[in-house]
Amino acid sequence: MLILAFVALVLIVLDSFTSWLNPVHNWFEGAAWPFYWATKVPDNVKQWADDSLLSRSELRADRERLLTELLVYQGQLQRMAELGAENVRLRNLLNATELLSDNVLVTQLIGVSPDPLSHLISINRGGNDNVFVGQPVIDSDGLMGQVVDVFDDHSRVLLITDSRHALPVKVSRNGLRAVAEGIGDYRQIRLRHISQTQDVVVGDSLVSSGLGNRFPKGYPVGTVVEINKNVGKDFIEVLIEPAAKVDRSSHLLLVFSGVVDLNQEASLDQETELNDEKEVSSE
Amino acid sequence: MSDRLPLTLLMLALCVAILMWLVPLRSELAFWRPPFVLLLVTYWLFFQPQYFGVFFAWLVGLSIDVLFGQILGQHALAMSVAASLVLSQQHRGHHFRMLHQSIFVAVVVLVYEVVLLSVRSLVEDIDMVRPLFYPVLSSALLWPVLFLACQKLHSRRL
Repeated sequence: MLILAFVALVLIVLDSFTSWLNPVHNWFEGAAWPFYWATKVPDNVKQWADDSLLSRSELRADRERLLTELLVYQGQLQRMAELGAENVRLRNLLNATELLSDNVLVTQLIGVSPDPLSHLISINRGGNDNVFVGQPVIDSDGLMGQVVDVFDDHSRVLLITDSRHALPVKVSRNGLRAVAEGIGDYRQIRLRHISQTQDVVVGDSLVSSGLGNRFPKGYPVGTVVEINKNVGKDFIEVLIEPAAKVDRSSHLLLVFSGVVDLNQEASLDQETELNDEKEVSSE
Repeated sequence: MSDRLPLTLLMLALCVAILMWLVPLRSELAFWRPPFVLLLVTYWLFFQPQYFGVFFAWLVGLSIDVLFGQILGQHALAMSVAASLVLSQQHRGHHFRMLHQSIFVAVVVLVYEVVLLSVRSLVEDIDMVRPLFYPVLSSALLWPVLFLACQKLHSRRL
């Protein structure tokens, strides 16, 4: 028994402080696959039932609702286009040369870490889809986390609520910069090192600040829900409710952000316009 | 019949235990999930010690590490320590009543969780105290059910 315990201890030390055992992790990653798949079976059955056992009237109602939503969003989008153009003009005036344009890839949650202390999830996209380590992951409401391990056809994502995770944010009301760190609670994250006099109030919304070059700028991170001022301490405690449904979302988006030079983009636009004209004329 | 190990049944039971440990739970409930694999191994060590020993527990722990673990060896260590504790009381355990068994299982799970958490606190800073006792309690409460289920399985086979 002592020998076994010793071997286990050696393994623990080797794996914690060196990367020599990483190949082992990689080999056996695929072997855990059937288990994750099996845990998803009830979900998949339910989803299949939801998808295929709908009555005609339900489908019609759904369609009606979606059409209305589409109309509303299209209306809003028209304003967005105008605002986007205005934004580009203003940035040009300010001599800001870059603009972020993000592409996304839809992905699905396939596994959740069984350990309540580590907030890791697995998603069904990997190296074959050009997923890379450090890639941001969002859901429909906000920032979820980042990719930490990439395998061929799946990858692992560390959520922003994990106690090992921190990300640079800013208060969208006044641009105050801060670092939001996870505390191992799916419902809350916390701002680090906010002093008594800094301007943060309950209800402030936080977005990613883009500092650190890991997360793109401007994705919603959360809302301040609680501020605890303790007179004896240097910093106040600011608790944030994540915008993303960190423990509930099952359809996620991988963000491929590209920095596009504004001038280049302008010239690209012109080129494409020229090409279009050519095509028209050749027809 | 009892001189041969039913390997398929054994693997099946292990797989089911691993699945029960893996199935995603609501975040509040996740802390309460008992370590099903440990409970199954405890049952076997208790009532079939002629087949199973510390090495078996170690092997099961290592396979969990290899499949899902973040640090290799942590479950192997915790399993083997818990297993040796079980084996040291095994000759008495036969005569334990259900309540005593539950209490004993709680102690085993506590030892297991303490070892696991101390290993993890080597590399991460985690809040040690809060999540520690939930699985201990839930394991003790669930043990009678698990015990009866395992016993039924075994008696049908033999």
